[in-house]
Amino acid sequence: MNEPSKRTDLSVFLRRLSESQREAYDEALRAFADDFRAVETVCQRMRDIENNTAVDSAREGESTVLEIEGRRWQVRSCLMKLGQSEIFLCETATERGREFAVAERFSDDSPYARGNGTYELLLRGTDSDRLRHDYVECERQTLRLMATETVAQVHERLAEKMTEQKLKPVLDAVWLTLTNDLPRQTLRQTHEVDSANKRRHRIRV
Amino acid sequence: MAKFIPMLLVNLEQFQAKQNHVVVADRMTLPPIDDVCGPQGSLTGGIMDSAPKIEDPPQTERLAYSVQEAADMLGVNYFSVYRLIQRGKLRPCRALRGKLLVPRTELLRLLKTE
Repeated sequence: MNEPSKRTDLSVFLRRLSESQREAYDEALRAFADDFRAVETVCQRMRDIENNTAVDSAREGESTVLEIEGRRWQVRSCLMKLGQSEIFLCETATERGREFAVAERFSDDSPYARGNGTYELLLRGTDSDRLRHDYVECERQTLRLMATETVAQVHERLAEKMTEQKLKPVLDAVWLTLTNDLPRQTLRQTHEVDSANKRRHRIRV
Repeated sequence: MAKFIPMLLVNLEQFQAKQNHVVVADRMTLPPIDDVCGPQGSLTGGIMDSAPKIEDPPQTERLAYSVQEAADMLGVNYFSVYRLIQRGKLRPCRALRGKLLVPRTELLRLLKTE
C-alpha cells in the first residue's frame, strides 16, 4: 500500500471521501475498534517511554531477579503490559561491565511458555538508554505490521461493497488513522536477539 | 509384520494430510476455528477428539490460522504474535489482499510438538 504523506492532515483527508466512502471508513472504525485502540495505547506508551514518564519500577513483593537462558537478570523497570504479556528492562553484571536486556514475560500456563519458557530476551545491549530507544523503534515496527494487517482485514471486509478504485481512499484513510502517530523509522543500533532469523519466507496460499 | 503396522499408519496419515492439503488449496476456504480446535482452541482438540457426524460435510485440516487464532492457540496476546513475526520467529503466509495467515506447521514448531 502506498503510504499517504505523513503530513497529510487526517481531517482534510477524510473530507475528501464521498458519503459512501465515509460510511465504509466509519464501519471499519467500528468493526476494528479493538485494533485501533491497541495501536493508540501502544503508541502512547512508546511516547511515554521516550519521555521517561511511563517506566514503572519493579513491583514491590515480586521477585525482581529473572533466570533467562541460564543467566540471572535484575528487573529494572516494566516497560509495557499488554494482556498476558509484560515487557521488562533488565540488567546483569558481566566480566566486561553491565549488560542490559529487554525481556518479554508470557503467562506461565500458556502453551507458548510451556514450549519456549516464560521469559524471552528481545534485545540486548550495554547502553540502557539506547536499548530503550531501540525497543521503542522495534515496537513501532510491530505497530506498522499490525496496521498493515488491519488494513488488509478492512479490505477483505469492504471488498464486496465497493470497487477497488473507490475503496482505495478508504484504505488509505484507515492506514493514515493507524499510523498517524508513528514517526519515521530510525536506525537500530543495539543487538537484536533474533536478527539472524530476520529473513522472511513468504508462501502464497 | 507387527513393526510395519505403525509405519503404515504414519504413511496413511501423511497421505490423508496430502489429500486435505489439496482440497484446502483448491477451495481456498478455511472452516471456522472451532471445527478444528474445539472451544478451547487447542491444536489437539476438535476433530481429533470428537466423533464425526454423518450429516456433516467431510472435514479438512486447517492449514493456516489468522493472527488472533494463532494468539489464542499460543496463549499469548495477539500483539505478541505480531512481535514474533516481526522478530522472524514466526513465519507467516500472505493470503488474498495481503492478509496474514500463520501456517499450522509454524504453530506446531513454536509449540515444539512437531
